[in-house]
Amino acid sequence: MTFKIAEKNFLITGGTGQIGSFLTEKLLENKANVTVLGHNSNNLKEIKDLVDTKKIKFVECDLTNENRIKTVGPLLQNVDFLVHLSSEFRFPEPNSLSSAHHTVELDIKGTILLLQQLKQLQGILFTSSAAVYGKPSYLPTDELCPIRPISFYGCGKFATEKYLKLHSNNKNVPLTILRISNVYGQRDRSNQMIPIFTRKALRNEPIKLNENGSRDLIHISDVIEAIMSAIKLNQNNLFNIGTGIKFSNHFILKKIIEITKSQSKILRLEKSEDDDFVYDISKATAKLDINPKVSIERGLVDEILWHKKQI
Amino acid sequence: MKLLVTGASGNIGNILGNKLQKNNIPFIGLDVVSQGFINDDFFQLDITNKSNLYEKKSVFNEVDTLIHLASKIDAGADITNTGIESVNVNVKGTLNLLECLPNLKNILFTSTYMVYGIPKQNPVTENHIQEPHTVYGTSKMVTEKYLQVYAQEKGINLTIFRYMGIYGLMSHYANQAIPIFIKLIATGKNPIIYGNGLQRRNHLFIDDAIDAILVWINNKNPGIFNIGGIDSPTNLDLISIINEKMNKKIKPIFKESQQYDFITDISRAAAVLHFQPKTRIKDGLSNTIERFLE
Repeated sequence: MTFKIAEKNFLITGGTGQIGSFLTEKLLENKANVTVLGHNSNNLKEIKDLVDTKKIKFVECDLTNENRIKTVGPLLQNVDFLVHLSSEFRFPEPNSLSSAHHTVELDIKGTILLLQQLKQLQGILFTSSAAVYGKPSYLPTDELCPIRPISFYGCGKFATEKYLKLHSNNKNVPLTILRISNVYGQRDRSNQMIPIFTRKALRNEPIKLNENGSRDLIHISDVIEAIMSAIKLNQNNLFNIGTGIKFSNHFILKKIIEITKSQSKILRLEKSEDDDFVYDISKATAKLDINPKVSIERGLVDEILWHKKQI
Repeated sequence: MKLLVTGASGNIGNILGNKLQKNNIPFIGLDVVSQGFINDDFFQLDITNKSNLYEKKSVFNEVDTLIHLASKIDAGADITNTGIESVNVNVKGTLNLLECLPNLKNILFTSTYMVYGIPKQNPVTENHIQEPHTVYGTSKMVTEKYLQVYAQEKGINLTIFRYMGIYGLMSHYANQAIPIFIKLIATGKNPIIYGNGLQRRNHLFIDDAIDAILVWINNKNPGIFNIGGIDSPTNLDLISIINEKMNKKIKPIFKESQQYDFITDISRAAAVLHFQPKTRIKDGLSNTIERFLE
């Protein structure tokens, strides 16, 4: 039996972001009612038109603001399904204690406070991260790999998984956890490798490269497909979401330079901070009946064209 | 060594404080309440209140060794009910402490067997999968993870004790099986057993829990260690021993419930920490009953 999306009330936290905005559009196509929760109504980005034309509801709420969550609670009474994308913050010092406090406030307490308001949930989907594995004990990394976060960001994601799991068991609400690898593609506003490389390549600036590193990059449209499939399944599940293919940072950079026809020079750094990473995606492939479709070339063209338009 | 003990007025803290004083080990005590054994260097402070902690920064600056016992114990499972307070004390309280202790070199954090959830197999080793089913167990598991990242980042020596259920104190842990059994049998009432009474647990006697800390103070060996008892009695065993010690013949009442064995593997603590519990269940129960009858 699959979960029927049409007519259901979805709440998407962090809904103005890359995954959130695409998912909002996809859920609307499937005739769902969508409420997006975000911390800034003046920065709605791609969902602005949908809010202005009242196709979706927007609730302004910072999940670290306990009073605000309680105030907007009545607007969330009818939520059937929570898609918890919970936005990520990049800190100047990611492993400082103030960052640790922030992950506790936003990830753990924000989640608990939100759940206090959602009393009729029929399903929860949470997007976690490969950061829960830290430096994985083995590659390709499957879902049984030991949990050893090496960052407070990873701690916050892991903690959220576990508090959600406790809630799911206690209230009998199915919970899907997707540990997503590196997402790329259009609307990528992150300060990650591909946007940085792309912006510099478009300006023909020299680009610093850490040798040795590699990653499992998944295009946004494949992520959306995985999320939609998981919502329809709506069972207690944990999946690693990636492509199962690793590309070296060097390869990605060369591709970007090639696509942008850039004159950028590659500055090779001797010391590498990045490690190898690739997922074993066999569980997701089998149970969600999905297979990443977008090739790295097509995906990079998609993201680069978007960045060009932003300039 | 400049030692800080949090939760100094609590169940373990009180007895530990006495032992430290007897062994001439100076320490600073900290607790949100002030009761029981109080040493000269005691501060009544709430670890959830960062500014209060900061007022004592000059004292805490010198601390290089932390024994972090302070904790909010709550066995509930509904995070929407007790989750926030548990996170505030156990997770955020720990981070607050770390902020006020800039010169730490060693941390001992007392965690719980409840980080594992229902055992997939017994005995439960430290590598057992973690699926806690209580708010308390979840908060401890999460605090462990934050501490591990912090210790790694700062090069701090970190030891985590995952204590088995502790017995030996009548006034505390009042909702646990052993004190309840003793109280009911003493007054001739039938104790209630959930399930068939055949499930085993390696209950940890309080003196052994304290000894493990004293061993750690001496060697400070890092790692995660299960700290549990030697014997793994069933609930029926417990009732029969308590009856025997109190010269009673009270029969239990059985109530249907899904129960499971929970026996922690304590071999790593023996090998690496050089700690082994000494108290057999019969002796521990005798001792507990004596304390109760006093």
